[in-house]
Amino acid sequence: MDRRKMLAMLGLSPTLVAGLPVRARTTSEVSTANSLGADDGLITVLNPGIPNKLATRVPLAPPLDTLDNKLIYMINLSWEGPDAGNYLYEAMTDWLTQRHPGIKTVVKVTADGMFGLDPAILKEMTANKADGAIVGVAG
Amino acid sequence: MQLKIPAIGVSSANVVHYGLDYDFKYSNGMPVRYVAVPFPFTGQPKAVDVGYVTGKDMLTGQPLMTAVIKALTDPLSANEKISGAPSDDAGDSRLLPPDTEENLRHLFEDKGWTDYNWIQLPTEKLVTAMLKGTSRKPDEVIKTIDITGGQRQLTVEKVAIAAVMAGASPEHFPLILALATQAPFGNSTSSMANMVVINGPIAKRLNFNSGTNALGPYNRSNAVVGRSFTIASKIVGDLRNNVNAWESLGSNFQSTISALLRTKRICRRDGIRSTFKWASSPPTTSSRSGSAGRVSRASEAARISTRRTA
Repeated sequence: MDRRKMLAMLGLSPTLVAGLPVRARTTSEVSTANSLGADDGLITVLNPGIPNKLATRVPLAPPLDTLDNKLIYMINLSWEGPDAGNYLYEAMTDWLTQRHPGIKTVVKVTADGMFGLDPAILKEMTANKADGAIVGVAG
Repeated sequence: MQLKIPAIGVSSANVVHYGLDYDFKYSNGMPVRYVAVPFPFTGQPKAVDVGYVTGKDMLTGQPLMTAVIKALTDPLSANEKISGAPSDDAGDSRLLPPDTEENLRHLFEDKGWTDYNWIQLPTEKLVTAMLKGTSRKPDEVIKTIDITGGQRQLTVEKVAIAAVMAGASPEHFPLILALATQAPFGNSTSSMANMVVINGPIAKRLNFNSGTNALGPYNRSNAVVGRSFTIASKIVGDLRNNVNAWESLGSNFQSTISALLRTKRICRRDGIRSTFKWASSPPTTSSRSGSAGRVSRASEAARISTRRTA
């Protein structure tokens, strides 16, 4: 007679006889663990995650000491159209000119919207010796 | 061209959070200084946009213009001066450490790898069985995803993992693998989903539903193939709410409800334009002989066309 059957008939758990720790597992745990190939309650699965490659670090440019007498470009990425960005930049210009003597602002709308660099704007900023830039507005 | 002048970003808060964290780490590499306005910014009345200038910076709580000036003039921190290749890179372990089922399910949800419905945990045995549905090698890279940065490499095995999690069978895998080349679904501040049209013998062999309730949860192939795309999109896109996924409302079209784009004949009869029928999950169509006229003489591999739209 099969030893396990004999032990079962006697009311003894084979695991008890074998000296293993006995803990009543729920039916769900048993079926799941068995179906997932686990016999100790622990399951090994494959990692779905895909690692990200970290970007190369680029330092920031040195900051300005003041905004007085500075030329600041306001780059409008034209997110869903240029209007919202233009409204904000216009209001920013009003605010800045009231508080920072000599400050000048130039608002430029990018040719390719929010997805492309605009070499013409960069060229202009270089030619005009721009001191700083505000880029936006997304959302 | 580098101008080497201070430049700051101004955007709505959700985009700024992405710029400061995910975009900086995996795409930009430059610790750009931002000021944030409320979301949404576009589409507001002029008075609202103008009012933001006298309002607060959503990042620091300071007056917005104070934050702008500080961003342009504050001295650089040590972190803002770092240049060069990163010293540590995220590794990839093929297997997760052994754990209980409960803990693994929590982990999968915490990582954003699921659609928050029950999944089949991807044991090696199940994934190996799924891979029998293709002749491609498990480590073959089918796509490098860099939409939100990170240059993540999608392999055949990763797609098989997503397919197992979605409850698909190996016979679905050729189709799921083809769909995975189009993952992830789109991601922007407006909501996006994908539409898929499937034609050829595989549609019939896998018994896709092209009849009544085509868009409802009434067919296994429709459901599991669509769900595989959903889960694969989240994994390969590493899409997580408020990390790099910022749709204003989101879309249940990205969810896993089975969907089907009806055949031309049925569409004409019911007055539905086939090319503009959106569905929750990649819709499928079956060009069954007799119902749609000609049967495509496609090869055993599914012919798939996808169209991405907002």
